[in-house]
Amino acid sequence: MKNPVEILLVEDSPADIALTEEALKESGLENTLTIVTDGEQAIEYLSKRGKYKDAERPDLILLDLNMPKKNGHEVLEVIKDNPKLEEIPVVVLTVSEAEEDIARALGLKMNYYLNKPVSVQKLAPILTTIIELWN
Amino acid sequence: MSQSILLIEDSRAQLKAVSAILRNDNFQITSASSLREALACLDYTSFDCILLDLSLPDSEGLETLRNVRAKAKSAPLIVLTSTDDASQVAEALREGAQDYLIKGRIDGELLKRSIRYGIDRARTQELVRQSEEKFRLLVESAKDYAIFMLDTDGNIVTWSSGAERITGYSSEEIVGKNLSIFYPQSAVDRGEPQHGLREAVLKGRYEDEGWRKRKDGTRYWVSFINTPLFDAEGNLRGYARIARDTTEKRIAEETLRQKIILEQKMVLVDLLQAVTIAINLAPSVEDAVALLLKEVCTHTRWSIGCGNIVDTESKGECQVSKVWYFPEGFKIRADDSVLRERLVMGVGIAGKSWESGAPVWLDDISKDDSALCVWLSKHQGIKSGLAVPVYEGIRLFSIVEFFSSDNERPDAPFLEVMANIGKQLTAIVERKRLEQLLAKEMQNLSRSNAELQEFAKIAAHDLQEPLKSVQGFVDLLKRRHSDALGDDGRRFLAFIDDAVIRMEQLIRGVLEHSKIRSQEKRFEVTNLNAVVQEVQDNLSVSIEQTGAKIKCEDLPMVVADPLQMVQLFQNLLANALKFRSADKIPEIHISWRRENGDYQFSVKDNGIGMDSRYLNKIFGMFSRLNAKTDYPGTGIGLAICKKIVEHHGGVIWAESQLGKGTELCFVLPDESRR
Repeated sequence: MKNPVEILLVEDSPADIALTEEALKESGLENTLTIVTDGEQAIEYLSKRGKYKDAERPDLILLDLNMPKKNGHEVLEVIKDNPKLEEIPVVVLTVSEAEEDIARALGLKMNYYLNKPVSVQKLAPILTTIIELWN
Repeated sequence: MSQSILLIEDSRAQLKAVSAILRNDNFQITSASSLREALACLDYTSFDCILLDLSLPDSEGLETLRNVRAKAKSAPLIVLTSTDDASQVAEALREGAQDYLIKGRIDGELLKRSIRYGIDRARTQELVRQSEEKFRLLVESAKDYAIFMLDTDGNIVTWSSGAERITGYSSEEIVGKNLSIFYPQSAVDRGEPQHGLREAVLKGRYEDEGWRKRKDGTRYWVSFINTPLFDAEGNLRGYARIARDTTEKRIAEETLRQKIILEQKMVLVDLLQAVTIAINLAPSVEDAVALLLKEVCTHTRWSIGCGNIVDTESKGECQVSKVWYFPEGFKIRADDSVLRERLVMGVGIAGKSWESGAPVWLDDISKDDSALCVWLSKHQGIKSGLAVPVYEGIRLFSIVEFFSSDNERPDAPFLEVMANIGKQLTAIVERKRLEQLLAKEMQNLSRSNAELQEFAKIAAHDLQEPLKSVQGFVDLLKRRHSDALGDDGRRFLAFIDDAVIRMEQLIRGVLEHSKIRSQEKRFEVTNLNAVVQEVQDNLSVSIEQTGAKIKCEDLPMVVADPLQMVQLFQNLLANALKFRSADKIPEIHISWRRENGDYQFSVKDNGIGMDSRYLNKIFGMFSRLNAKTDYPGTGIGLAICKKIVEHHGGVIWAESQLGKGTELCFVLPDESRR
């Protein structure tokens, strides 16, 4: 894992983006944060297409489930079906506690999930675990 | 009574002698001494007996006999001659002489006996002749009957005018021919002609009927009797046959039979129709079975009907509920088996029909395994029973039984109609099952719909309360503590503000959406031009801001909910304005046309458009194609449009390409046509 950690945030809500930024800031983790606002951009970024042709491969993806165009589940499926991307840990961000959403994401091999709003208390332990496991 | 005698004799001595013999015995004698004189007598008088001398002055020998015979056909002739010439005697007898007496040797008693004998014989012969004549006349006058005789081989011996009339063969053509000439070849091959003769000998007479052919080849139907003829010693001598042409009767019978069959068929057609109508209208499967039984029993000779509806079935046994039809005044025994019964495959007519999958008929149900059948036979005079299985796919649905007080075998057309009725019943069972399922689903659906609407209303109101508090405190914070919050604090408050506003919009959207269905249909004649004008007024601010050009055709009057029409057009126009291209002045075109008698509308823009992949997604609740940052909104607008259009019985769809604008189309049915 690189230092600073390369993080891709896939999120369309400005408020949630701001909250995530704040949480990361508070966690003290050195990181480079890239933000894309819908599922299609996320896939373009990961496959380094179009304006993202020079994009870095992220060490970690924070993925919102509820998004316009391709939703989080579809993006997750693309990531985990791609041998070049499947290793990247994905943290699913969700507002719903609905079991079926989580179960479906589990089925699509997500690594962690985080119940919104994103806060340092919730995000920091996950980041620590991921960094330990993946290093 | 005296007997008249003509004595033809030229010898006076002879005349005297004979007269002397006969005088005292009540014979009345007329004499003639020549043939001429004799013939003259015979012209005026008939005699009981003629005594004739063959040698007369004007005639000699057999010539005399012939001449007299010609005049007196039936009277016995006794020849008196002086010669004993054997050949002449024989000749005379052949020519019709009764007896032969030689002159000079005439004995008185002999003469008298000969005369009496002659008279008796002539009388008998006359009676026989008359009788034969009567018989001949009888046979000949029987124009409608062919009466003829056959020899022992069946060859025709005699013929009658009736036979000629019926068959077309004359006596000359047919006598000597075999009887089989009348029969069709197939009957000859079966040996029918000879069979009729043999049977006549065995049984004393043989009666039958059948098709025959005339000389000209046409067919006729004949009823006939063969009678064997035996001689005194009991030897078979031949046959008498009396035949009658009964073609017309036969055709009449056949016509009647066809008519009866046709009537029976009409009854079946009526039955099928009645059952079809009845069971299709039946509110439940049980009612359908009951109506089926009633219709069959009132249309046919089956008087009692029992429908066994299978409740449970396993391993060759089934539990059935029974539905009955009885004629009026009928009393069934009060017993549980009348309402429910356990049927075993292969047992009883019902069980046998289940096993075979086909109708089973029993002509004597007192022999059935079912106690109920035996009871019906014993107490209700029921003779026969019929069981018809009704399958739904491979599952036994029901066995329908019918009972009758006769034991006539059910014919094929009836069974066919029963099979047809069975199929219809199956279709109805299936339909009823689907209807019940549908009704249940509808119930669930309307319940969940009602719950959803209730939930939406409560949620909307209850959600707004805490939201109002949040907004109130944010306002307070901004007003009183703005400086203390610093830049980050103020930025966070701005996020809170945004979130609250969005939440309010969402709640309003959900409320609006849920209202569409809950409102009663308040349809009225609506002027869509006025609707669009109102919408443009409502949106005037953003129209001015964007400089949009809106072109609207002259729209029709439609029957619709006017408030919902405003909502519909407002959402569509607002969308067109919102998703405008950054580099173009928005142009919106509202048009319409008649399509299959309905109204089709189009709202077309020159905005950003969308990938055609998402066209079917956009009408879903909360569906968004664009980031909230770029195009704020709730994702409810088009869902509301869809609901409004569907509430009016129409459909809505979008046509678009990325970067090339979007066209939203919807159809409103023409209510005036409904």
